[in-house]
Amino acid sequence: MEILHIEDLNFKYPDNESFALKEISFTVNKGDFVLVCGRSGCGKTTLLQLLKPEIAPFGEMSGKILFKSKDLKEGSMLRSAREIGFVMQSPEDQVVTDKVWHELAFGLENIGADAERIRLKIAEIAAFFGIDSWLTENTSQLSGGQKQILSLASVLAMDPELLILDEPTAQLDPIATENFISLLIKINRTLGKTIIIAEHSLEELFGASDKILLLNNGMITACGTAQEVSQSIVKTDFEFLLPASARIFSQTEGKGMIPISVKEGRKYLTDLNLKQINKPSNKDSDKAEPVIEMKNIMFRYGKDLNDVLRDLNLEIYKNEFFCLLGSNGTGKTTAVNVMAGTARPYSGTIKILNKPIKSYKGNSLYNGVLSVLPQDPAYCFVKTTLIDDYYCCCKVLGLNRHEAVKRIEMIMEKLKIKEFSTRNPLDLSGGERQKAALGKVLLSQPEILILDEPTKAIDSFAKYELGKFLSELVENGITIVAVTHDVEFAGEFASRCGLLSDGKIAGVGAPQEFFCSVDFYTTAARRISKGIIDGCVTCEQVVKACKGGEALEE
Amino acid sequence: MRIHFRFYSFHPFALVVYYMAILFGSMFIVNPVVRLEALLGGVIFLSLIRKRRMVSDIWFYLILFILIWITNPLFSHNGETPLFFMNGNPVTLEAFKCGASIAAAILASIIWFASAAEIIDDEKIVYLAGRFFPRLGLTISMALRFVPRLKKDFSACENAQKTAGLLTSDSFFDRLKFKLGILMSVSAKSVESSVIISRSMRARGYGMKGSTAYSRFFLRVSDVVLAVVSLITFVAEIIAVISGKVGIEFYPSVTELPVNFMAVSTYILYGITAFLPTIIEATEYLKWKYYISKI
Repeated sequence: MEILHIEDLNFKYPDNESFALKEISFTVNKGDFVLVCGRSGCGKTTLLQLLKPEIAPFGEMSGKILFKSKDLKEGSMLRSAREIGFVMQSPEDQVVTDKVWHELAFGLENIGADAERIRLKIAEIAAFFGIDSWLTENTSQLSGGQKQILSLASVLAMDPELLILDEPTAQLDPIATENFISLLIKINRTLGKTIIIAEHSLEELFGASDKILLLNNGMITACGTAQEVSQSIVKTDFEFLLPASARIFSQTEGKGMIPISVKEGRKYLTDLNLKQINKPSNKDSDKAEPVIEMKNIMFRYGKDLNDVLRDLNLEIYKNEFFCLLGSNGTGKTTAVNVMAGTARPYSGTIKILNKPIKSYKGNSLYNGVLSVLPQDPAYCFVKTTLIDDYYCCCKVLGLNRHEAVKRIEMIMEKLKIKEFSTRNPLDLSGGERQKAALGKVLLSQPEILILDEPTKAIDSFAKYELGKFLSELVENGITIVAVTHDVEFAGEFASRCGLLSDGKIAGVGAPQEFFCSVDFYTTAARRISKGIIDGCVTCEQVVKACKGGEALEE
Repeated sequence: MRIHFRFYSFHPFALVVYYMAILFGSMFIVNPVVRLEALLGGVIFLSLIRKRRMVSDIWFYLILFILIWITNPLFSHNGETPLFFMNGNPVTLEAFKCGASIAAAILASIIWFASAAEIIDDEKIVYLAGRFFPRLGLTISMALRFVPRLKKDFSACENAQKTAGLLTSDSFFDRLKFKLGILMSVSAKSVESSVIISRSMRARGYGMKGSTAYSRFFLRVSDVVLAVVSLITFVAEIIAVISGKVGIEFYPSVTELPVNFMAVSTYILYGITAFLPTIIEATEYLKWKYYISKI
């Protein structure tokens, strides 16, 4: 049965020449799990917001949106509030109240449910999500992943028939993402709720969806089941959206059904009957001089609290791209703060460029030695236009006008952000804003660049661009330390990886030996190829190994 | 920790009536018996809540008491029994007694307010406000959610700016400028996020007519008992203050402690009210001890 019917939908924002959405037509059946994907700015968010009248953007719209065969605009507010649930991207901004139980009750209060019903609903939802123990907590104490689960729960408490989610996991770590998505699948399978979700991380979702909608420049490029969409976009510009199995399949010129899950990918690789050859060699890079030395670092946030970092020992060598991995709450960000001198450990020593960190006075550490790109790039900016912000920064760094112009010119050129120079940094999209922030921290021409979760909230295309740019920086002599939970990113670009757990480094090594020595906390390509072709961490390596294998067989 | 207190789990309405009765009595009935009861009851209950933290605070309270006590005779020279002369002004016994009375009243109020702050927490305030003005309740709830977030944002932003080299020197004005810059940046970000918050609220049906307010509080028999006892005390206090038969005068000479019917019943009622939380906790403690020994 059709629940949503969209016909010939066009949408244009005011003051904008081009259409944000063009000739969109599709239908959603009751109980379907629909995935909407595409690059940033392709119109995903606009489309989803149009499906929820309360938050629909202003602009010119033509075409029909029928919800349960009635025009969406004609329905009452109560109906829309109750029957269509919407979960947004930012975990911080969509939680409204201070207590968890109040957040769950919020929607029900608005639609005028009585106390008895609200009590029952909260109890039921808390049991379904297993969040009973949080009910009396303050929402500010929850982690990002917990906040997203709470947002989902509070929407579900209103018992909507259609659930719309706009990139709900964009700011979560992979484990929290997996939890969230498996919850969604459970809601779809066991409660029969119709779900429409826009997402960046597609590895899990691709196989789980009944229908996939690929948008490009506001138009539908492909629409159908996972298999159909995969067939139609292999060998096109959109191939990077596909799961690792499908990409390996495509690049090894496979024929027939496209493998989508890791399981199918493993079967495909096994069926290729490759001989175990072409083990990528582990080159032991010559140990260069260390630029950061951390010895026996102990850190805690308060006298009565537990240690966040316990006996942390870490050396970062000159000119390497080091990725510090670990799940949330293992002290990654604290490690960054300690390294950058913004948090002081109560025991242990840190040396930056062979000098104790304490011997850097004033801002000498941050002028040409070390720079940090914070997790949320919005924190970097203080002025209303990007160029003003850059000039302000140059002035503080003690550059004269001429030098400043030259340096800004050079950095904007490198990052291709000249077109944003007169815009407000806060108006830029996630990926653009991050580039602008990266430009700002590079103004001081640091020798060491520290990045805190650089791949959070940017899509896979922007992620690839960022990785390329950082690799270039390393080639030009900069040392990079990136703290991340993105194993795919680390596998692809890092020259050395470390795993932080329980406040100390649990393992460290080059990506190939590192990811091959762990079984779960590793890249999809490694999970697909493990035991079939050893020593591969990225899709490219798997493809290369496959091709090499074929070449030898001839 | 305080969640384990029986007194904490009373209904917000009962607690508000209770604290009103206690604070009104300690402030407006000028009578040493009532003030002593208020002070003792407050100190014992607050030490029950704070336990070890109270030991360090007790010095602060003592010094405060002494300061207020000796300040009064230095400035007030009324009374007919001069003890000695200072700068040609008499320092009188009556002024000393009056000072002690004022000090006891102020200290008792501070201590009872401190325990109220522990017992009537955010959730109860939100409930009480929302009961009468639903919008206000939600606003307070959102503010309570907003403040810790702003704090976190501020320190994240400060770190970001510091590592970008923007804090150049340790001079006071540079620091001030630096902090102001951060405040600007953080507020710009909050404005941006408030757009998303309002969207999240509208998406969940906020602003429709006929909304309800849900709370987790139930009115139990014990809540009603507490409220009624407090209310009786409160009424008795008001009558006592208006009739003027319970209070004492300090100047020109200290009047005798009243022992009429109204005064004695006020002492008894106020005494019961002031020691009620302690009695409740003590019974609770004994009950548990008894249960445990049975187990």
